[in-house]
Amino acid sequence: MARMVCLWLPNWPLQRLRHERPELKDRPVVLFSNTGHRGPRVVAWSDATSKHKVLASGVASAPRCSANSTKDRGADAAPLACLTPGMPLAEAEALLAGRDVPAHIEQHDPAADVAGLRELARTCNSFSPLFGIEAAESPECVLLDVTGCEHLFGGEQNLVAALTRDFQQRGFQVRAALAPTIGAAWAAAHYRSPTPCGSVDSRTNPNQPGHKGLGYESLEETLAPLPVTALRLPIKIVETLRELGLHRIGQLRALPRESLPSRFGSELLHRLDQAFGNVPELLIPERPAEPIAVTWVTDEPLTDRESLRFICRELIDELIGRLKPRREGARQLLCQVKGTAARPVEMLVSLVSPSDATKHLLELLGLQIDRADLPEGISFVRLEATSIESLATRQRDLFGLEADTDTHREVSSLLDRLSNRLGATAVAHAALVPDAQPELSVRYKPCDTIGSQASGAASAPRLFAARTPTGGLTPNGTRFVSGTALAAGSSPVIVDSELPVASAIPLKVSTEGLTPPRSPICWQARPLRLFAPPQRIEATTAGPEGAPMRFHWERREYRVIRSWGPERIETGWWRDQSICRDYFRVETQTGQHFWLFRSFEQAAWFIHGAFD
Amino acid sequence: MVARDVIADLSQRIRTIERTGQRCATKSDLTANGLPGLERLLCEAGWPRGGLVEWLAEGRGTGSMCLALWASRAAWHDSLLVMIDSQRELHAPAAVPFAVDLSKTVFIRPERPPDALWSLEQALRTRGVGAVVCDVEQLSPQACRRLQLAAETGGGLGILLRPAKARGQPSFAEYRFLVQPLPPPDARRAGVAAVSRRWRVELLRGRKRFGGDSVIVELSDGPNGLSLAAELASATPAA
Repeated sequence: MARMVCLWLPNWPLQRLRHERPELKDRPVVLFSNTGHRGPRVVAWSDATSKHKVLASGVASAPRCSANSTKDRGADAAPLACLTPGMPLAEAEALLAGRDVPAHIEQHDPAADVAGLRELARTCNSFSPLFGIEAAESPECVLLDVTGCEHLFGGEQNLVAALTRDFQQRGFQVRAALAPTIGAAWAAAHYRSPTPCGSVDSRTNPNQPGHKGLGYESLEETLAPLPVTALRLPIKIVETLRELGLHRIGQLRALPRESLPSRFGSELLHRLDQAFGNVPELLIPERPAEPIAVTWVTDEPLTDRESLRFICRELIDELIGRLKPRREGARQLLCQVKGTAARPVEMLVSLVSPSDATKHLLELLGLQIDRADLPEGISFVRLEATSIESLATRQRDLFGLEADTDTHREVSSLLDRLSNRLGATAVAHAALVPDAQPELSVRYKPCDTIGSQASGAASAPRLFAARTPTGGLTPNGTRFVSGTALAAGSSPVIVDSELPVASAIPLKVSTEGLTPPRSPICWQARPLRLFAPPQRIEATTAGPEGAPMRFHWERREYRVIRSWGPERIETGWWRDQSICRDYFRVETQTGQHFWLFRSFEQAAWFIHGAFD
Repeated sequence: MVARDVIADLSQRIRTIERTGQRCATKSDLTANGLPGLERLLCEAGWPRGGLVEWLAEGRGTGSMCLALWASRAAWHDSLLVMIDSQRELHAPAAVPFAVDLSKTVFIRPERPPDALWSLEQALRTRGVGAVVCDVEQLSPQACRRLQLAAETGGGLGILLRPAKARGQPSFAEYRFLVQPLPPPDARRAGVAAVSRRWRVELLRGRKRFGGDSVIVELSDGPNGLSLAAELASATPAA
């Protein structure tokens, strides 16, 4: 008799997100999807986490879960219950606007969810040799075939208890059930009443009755009272059944079997048979990733780099030869070189996208070999592909460029070469951060995380739009205070999109489609070059609060002929180093424009940038 | 009519010869010039694909970079922009108003000057890179030739920001401009609400054109937002 365990991770997209980013644990999270043509829609959400509240949140993409969670949510009355699946994102944002803790809003990434669940399934290797994930559009269950494994854990109940404990200790919320078929285990994990056997709590307490897994004999009586949604049916069939008053599996069993396909289509009968073990259901096992490594050992030690390059070429060829049949490419290579010294020298080659081109990989490794401090007398070289990815993903839309794939490959090869020679942090993307303090308003992210770039860029303008206008508090607690332009007293220079921005330029030349994107700042507000840290200068001012008249910088004296400001930038006291500065843009007699500020904490003048 | 055809044919052949026979400059080899008025200094209707343009300026805060970005924004319109920033001074948010799309921009921040030059050459050589912006203090003629060849291979525009003292050095760039800030036009002192800037842009030399001409460019907030005005300066600019 087959023994199957189904581990259900309710609201897996949210659980995954919180597991990867623990800082989201205390914040409400809303996931939205942009796939439809009706604009962004809410897919899943949850309040600040706690055990029951995650169960109380909803996932719309899987109809079965949404049906289940609607039931739970009613009982729990979670504060976020005002949201419904499929609600426009803008509406949800409006509902969440007045809350103390700002909600984290992110685009739903189904592919990452599946990949994360696969990853999780592979960690179950210690419980069973056969494990996989459920075959569904948006899977939330890990399946294990534990046939013949229970004696290793001292019985079935101990096995399930150990499994759930293992997941709980890693911070996941799970419900587990053991049954002779995948369908029955799935139904029991999802729908068996929370108090006795199906739920997590009872599993950890073996004294309670009903902790044992289901057998064939008890299948009928256990499944009969469960709702029809426990059969993993499409939402359409469930609706039809509900209209006919068929709510329980037992009611379906009472109907003549041969009439079911003509009434409800073949899928219902198929699912019913799967649950009761009349037709087999296949568990597609996940294979544990095996390391792919090649080594080269010699008695005669190498002395020069050229020979090492040659050896590396041979090794890369061999490595690629093993990856080729799997249609995979290396995304990261670790090269260990051992000489007479005890410690091996390690070189890590990271790529933007997986590659199976020997020449390219050798070029990247060569850049490292040239710079590495190699040991004397190399006698051992080991090359391991520490990260492998399917080559099908290599044609992803890098930077959203509408170019042919050759160009993409050239660009990603350029980024590989640059980051391998200069270091990953030296090749970066800039992401705007809604922070009033100029030096903190941008964050540089290494280019090897291009996948996340698109979502980051998409969310940046929205964050800026949410900023309060003149004199308000920004979400992270920094404050803008608008000053008046010193001399004219009319137009305040302040960081806000209400001022004319470059996008309004009437272009006289024929440059269609070249209007720049709408920018959060206007062109004259921030300098193109920002000195880090700001440099202290000597300045003469017009008065205690006035603009600078002349200043000394880099052993030169500058006379100010025009100035704009002040723009006060102030951060909250709760920051480690709060600032309070009055910024002036000044024009010198030489026509140069600089950005100066008066620091109130230090009672001194600084130059912070040049409008180059 | 016939004469015009002959002239067009001849200038096409001259371009072919000048481009070392590899490619010939056609309309598709140009990207639009975004600075109205500057076309008086150019010999074609825009910037050459696969070429270098030098922008020289004396000192900091002269505004040469924002002019260069704004003038050549068509070059990275549908491709990648690479900004090499060895001083780690570039402030990305300030580049956005000058048509820089941060999602299609890579910032390279090498620690040593040789690495900056190496990155510049690598980026120029890559197809798919629309433009590369880099500060170049010192540049030997050999290195400059390498850069020009790299740009011809890759087809992007190399924008080199250089100090004014480089004006006497030999160059393989298509154009070399000198940017000089000018005082406010009507000598208005303090008392102006909107920020406005004026420059004299002088063509020091071009590959196909003698230098000496200059135009005056103004960037200011007009009634409809930012506006650009350009006027022809006298052919022999006062120092």
